[in-house]
Amino acid sequence: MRKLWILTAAVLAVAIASAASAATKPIAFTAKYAGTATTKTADTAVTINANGTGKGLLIGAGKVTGVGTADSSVRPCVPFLGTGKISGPGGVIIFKVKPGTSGCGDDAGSIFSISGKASVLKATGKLAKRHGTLKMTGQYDRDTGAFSIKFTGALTA
Amino acid sequence: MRKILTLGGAILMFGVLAAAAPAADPPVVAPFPATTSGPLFVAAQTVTTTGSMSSWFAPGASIVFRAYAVDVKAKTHKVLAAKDVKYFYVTIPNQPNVKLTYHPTAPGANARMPWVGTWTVPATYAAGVVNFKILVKSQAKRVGQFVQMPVATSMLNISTTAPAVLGNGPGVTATAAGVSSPDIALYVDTVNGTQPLAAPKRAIGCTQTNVYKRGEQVVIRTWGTDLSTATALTTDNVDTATYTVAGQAPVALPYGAHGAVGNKVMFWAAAWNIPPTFALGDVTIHVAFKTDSGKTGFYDYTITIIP
Repeated sequence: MRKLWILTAAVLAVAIASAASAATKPIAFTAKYAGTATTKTADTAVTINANGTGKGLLIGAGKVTGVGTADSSVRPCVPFLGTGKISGPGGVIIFKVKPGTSGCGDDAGSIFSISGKASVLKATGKLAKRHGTLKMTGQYDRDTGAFSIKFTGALTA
Repeated sequence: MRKILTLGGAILMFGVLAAAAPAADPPVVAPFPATTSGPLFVAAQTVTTTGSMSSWFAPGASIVFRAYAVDVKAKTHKVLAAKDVKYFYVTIPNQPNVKLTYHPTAPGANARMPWVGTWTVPATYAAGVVNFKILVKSQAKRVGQFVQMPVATSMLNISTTAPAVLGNGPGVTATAAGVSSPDIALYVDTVNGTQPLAAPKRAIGCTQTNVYKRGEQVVIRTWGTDLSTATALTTDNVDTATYTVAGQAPVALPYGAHGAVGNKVMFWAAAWNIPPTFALGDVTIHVAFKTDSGKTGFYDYTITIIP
């Protein structure tokens, strides 16, 4: 009888440990979106408003929205900050663009290569309670407003 | 019944295709030379017999093509030596091919770019951009190709008014300092910047050169391949990209679009304004990449600074 109790306890401990491990195991997240961004410039302060559609892992097909500000006095890589939301049937991610993120423009200031990072402030649904930093890369065509953005990174509980 | 089946099949096929289509693919500009590398990575430059880089030559001039190639598919990602190559040559519009031979000490060559061949431009050769290609095939039957970045003044141009090089190229010993990483293969060159802070502008901006006057602006341009994945180095897979002038702090290399509208490509580039009091002679620019997966690679590129 005692042996049975020990065995049961051991099995239970393993089950709890693996459940905890699964919950804390980082989830690789990737998402790609494309859409349109509008910018308004006052002197060298630029306000950004972006909306796009695409797909994210676990989040599913959905959209990204973002608002932010940029400092166009810095060239060729214009730094920008802001907040955004990725949403889909699988959940929502609220993120904040981290310092160091920028868009590097070509000679004409038309095509910008976006590179930086975003902190996940809050996630719901299939990514509930997950946090982490996502790498953001993409391109923005200031002439047409078209942009693309990719998020990659690991989210942990 | 057959028509219904055909229609059903077509709808199904459309559904499959629609599902397979990417969610939303972006505008725009592709990485140079391509998103993925071929089986052989090739980098090449055009220089004078002294190793002075130039993209502008007059009819009658001798142009030395120098190159190196890396086997992307081989486990060791080895740099191709003489025994590894079946052919390595330059193809030039309306001209016989120029064969490249493995000769690191030949005029214009160096340890980094040991494959060389010389083309003497015919007196009657048409002025303008020369869209040459360099083709290589290894004994393992792998092939590679090099073309120049599509920025007109930095490409090989023939002109009766071609600006002369400012002097001899850097010393060969200095140029041989860098050793390529087995993980990353890089192309590096420099062009004259159009906004020098302490020297007159050159007659033509963005021409390839490795000889500068004090006060001029150096623009470092680079692209490369992660050899383990055969993918271009882009912001998608690069953690840091920097250049460092000897004795100074590293400076980030931005990744951006370059070239004419409709023909833009993405590569890494940054400008450095040479201080008016900077030491004369050869100086090494250390170009370094670190990928998100932790791979590192560098290229020590030498320029010469003259008064």
